[in-house]
Amino acid sequence: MDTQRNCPSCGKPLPKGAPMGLCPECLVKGGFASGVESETNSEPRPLFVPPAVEDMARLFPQLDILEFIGKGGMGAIYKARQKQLNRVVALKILPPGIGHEPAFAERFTREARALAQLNHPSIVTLYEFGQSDGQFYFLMEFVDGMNLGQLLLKGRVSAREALAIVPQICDALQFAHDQGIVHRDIKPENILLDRRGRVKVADFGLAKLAGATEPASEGANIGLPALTESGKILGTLNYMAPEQKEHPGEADHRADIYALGVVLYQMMTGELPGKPIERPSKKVQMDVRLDEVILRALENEPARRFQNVSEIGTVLGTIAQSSAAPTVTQSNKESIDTPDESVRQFTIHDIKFNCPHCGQSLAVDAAAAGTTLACPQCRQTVGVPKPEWPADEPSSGETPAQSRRRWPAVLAVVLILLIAAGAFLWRRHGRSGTAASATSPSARLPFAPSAANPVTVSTRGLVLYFNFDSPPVNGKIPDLSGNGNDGEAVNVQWVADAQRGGALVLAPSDSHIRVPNNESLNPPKFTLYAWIKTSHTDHHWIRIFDKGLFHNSFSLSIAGDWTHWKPPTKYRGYLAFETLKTREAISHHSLADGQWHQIAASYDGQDKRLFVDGELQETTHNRPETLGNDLDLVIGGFTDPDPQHDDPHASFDGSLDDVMMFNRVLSPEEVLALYNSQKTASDTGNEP
Amino acid sequence: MTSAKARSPVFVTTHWSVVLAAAANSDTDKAQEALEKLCRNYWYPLYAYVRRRGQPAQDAQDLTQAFFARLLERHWLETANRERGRFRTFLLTAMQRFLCDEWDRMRAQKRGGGAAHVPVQLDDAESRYGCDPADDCTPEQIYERQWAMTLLDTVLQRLRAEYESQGDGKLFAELHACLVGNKESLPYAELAARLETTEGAIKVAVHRLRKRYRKLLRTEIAQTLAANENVDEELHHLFAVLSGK
Repeated sequence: MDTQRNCPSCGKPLPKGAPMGLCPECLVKGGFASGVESETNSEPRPLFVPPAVEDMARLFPQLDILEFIGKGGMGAIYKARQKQLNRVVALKILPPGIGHEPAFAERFTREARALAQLNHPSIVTLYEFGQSDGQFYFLMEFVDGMNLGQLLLKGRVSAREALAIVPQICDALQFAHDQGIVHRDIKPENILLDRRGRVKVADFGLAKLAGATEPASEGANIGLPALTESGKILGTLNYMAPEQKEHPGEADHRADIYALGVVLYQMMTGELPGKPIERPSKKVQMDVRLDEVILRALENEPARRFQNVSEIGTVLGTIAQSSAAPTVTQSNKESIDTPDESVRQFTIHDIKFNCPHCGQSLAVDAAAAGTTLACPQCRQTVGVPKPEWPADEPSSGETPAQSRRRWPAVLAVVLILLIAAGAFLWRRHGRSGTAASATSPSARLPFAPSAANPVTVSTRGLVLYFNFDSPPVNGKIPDLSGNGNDGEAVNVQWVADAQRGGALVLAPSDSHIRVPNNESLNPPKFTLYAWIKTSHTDHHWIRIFDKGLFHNSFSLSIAGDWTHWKPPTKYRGYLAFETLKTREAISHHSLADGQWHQIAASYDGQDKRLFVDGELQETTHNRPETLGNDLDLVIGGFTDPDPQHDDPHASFDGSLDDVMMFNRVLSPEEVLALYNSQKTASDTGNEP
Repeated sequence: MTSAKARSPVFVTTHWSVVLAAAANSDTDKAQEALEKLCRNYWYPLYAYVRRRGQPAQDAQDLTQAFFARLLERHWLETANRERGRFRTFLLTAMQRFLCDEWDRMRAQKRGGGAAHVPVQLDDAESRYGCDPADDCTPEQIYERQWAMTLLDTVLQRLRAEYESQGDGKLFAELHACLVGNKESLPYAELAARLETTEGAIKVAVHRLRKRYRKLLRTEIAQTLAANENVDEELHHLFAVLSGK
């Protein structure tokens, strides 16, 4: 075998089996239309004039271009409608001058793919990207509302409003930072507020895409023309961290923290911070604790700022809790309504304690137990204590046997799908509009901490929870989507269960319930969880899938052997939790028909993990996948509509309980803790 | 972006046209032959995919063989017609579906028993697979990478055959390394000396070689795409695949 050689052109190691011993990457480069012959071309870029709506319509025949929205440093944006989906979208085009080089297109693709991973309720979703007649474009979620810049034109916003808005920005930024994506251009214009007051951060990473220097590994001969060539400075100066101005290549996520500090300063005072920065509380009457947050975010030295944007969210949450509940007031009612359900409090302050150094009261997520943080008041390092679980408090009407210990009230905040008063469905506030009560303190979670079994599962990221404890209205499961998978009636039954409270029984072949259009169901990372009792071990699927149009969907299957199967018609591909263990191995050694078993599957963007009864069965490595935007959760199975591929395995035959979905990856310890907290009930619940 | 409708149905010989012709007329020798040729070209990426999914070598060979046998069956190709898109994607999807749908049945029966024999040469599959880097890429990534390498190799072989048929085999052997890299920094003088010609002549020859290569590569890629798909996009994709994104 050859010893490893490097490509004389790009310097990368030549892979084994390289065609004729040539570097395959460089060979592909040679195929570009402008190709190897125009490497040295670098034409000056003309002034960008956004195309007229009619021109855009010619470029994008699949869209109805509705109107031109605006133009900025990163291109122009139009409101459009996808004809096939009848979905209103925002169409963003980059200035035509950038992107003639093959390297740009490759980088555009890479960046756009990274952005496509950013599925978060507070981040504008990227639907599609590509190139049309040389024009690079993004199709994005259209946010009906206004941007923060427009809101600020009316003057400053109240502290209550700021405390409602900024933590959502923090959530979004932290989410992106966790994936290594820095926004680089946080400014009020990029913070969109929809008509419900929900925040959507826009234009992630575009500043980098359009302007930053390319890593040296790309090869010096393929330069990326930056917008800066035309003298335009990327990112808006007023919001730009000092290090971003001086060494743009070195700026990291803390540049976003600085920019957020400027935005917060402006929200509170109505002005940009001057030099030197005057304390906001000197300018306007406000909570001095906000001074500290803002000034620390605005430190010149990145190391002196908050190191994680989530810390800002945490501190603001503390301030909000100790003052009044943060809701958007009626003062700016033009486009912002009071959020009727504060559903998206991803930062749940599970643990409250005082700083041992200065006495400042602190509140952090339970997940931070045992870690350390910097006290926002005195900046000393503080250890976060382990939570002290409150005593068990069965709610009225519960028998002790049914009782599941309740999460402390502060925890049982919001994200819980509550099956209350016979309603089996809680829909996220919004499009469908029929929200069942979502924040009832009686939401019972199966997280039952005890001295013997210290459960460290947090409610963080819990977006769906069906406990099936109450009978459905009129004894029937409503067909949640209006019709079944293929328009037929839905075949499911609820049964009372003395030990489990209740369970859902699904007959095989296309029996399922569906939770339609849940915006929460498009995470890049998630854990799907359920208790199941199979009648036939072969038939047990729980799947989450979209409407089957364009995107992948996810499925949890413990059948084994199943893998990326692409159904022929409506169900365009899903990502199954395959296991390399054979079905028999799992069935015979772990699962038994007629017994309740816990199953959980997590996906962290790359690895899928499958658990049975608290035990990790295996980890499978997968390429990144993205869920679509219009997702339904389907519990149960369906019959393949293609008669040639009808397969009874693709259905679920048995009972279901405690179906949960988290927008995060539960650790093996958490899955085990959940199993332990629930297994007593389930063990005794096994019927002959 | 041109919609498929707007484009006139010029019938070029694409991989798709081969498949569709086979679907419409599965007993036509010519169509069948073309399809088999296609299978012969692109079997290795699929084999690597199956192997990477954890199948032992023998099973992977059986499955790949049986897959191609199945591929030649008419109803599968009709499905292909419905799901037209990239041929690369089609093959992988078909394989995935095959593995999902057929695996159990395959295990119960004799694998591939009674199915048409497809002349895919699998003998060296395992030694080739063993040479691939054992990094942690997924089956899909392996497939796509091998697809890209296979495609490039196909193009280079064709290019070499063209040169050889014109008696320029030696020229190709000397110049083919110039297909990669910056045109400005190629060793023209050295090549001129070796081929006993002028630097100017070498520059022209290299230019022609690169141009012809680009043409063949783009043609080969176009053959794997549906009518309304863009060659550059596919090139970008292949580049991303090879560079590990």
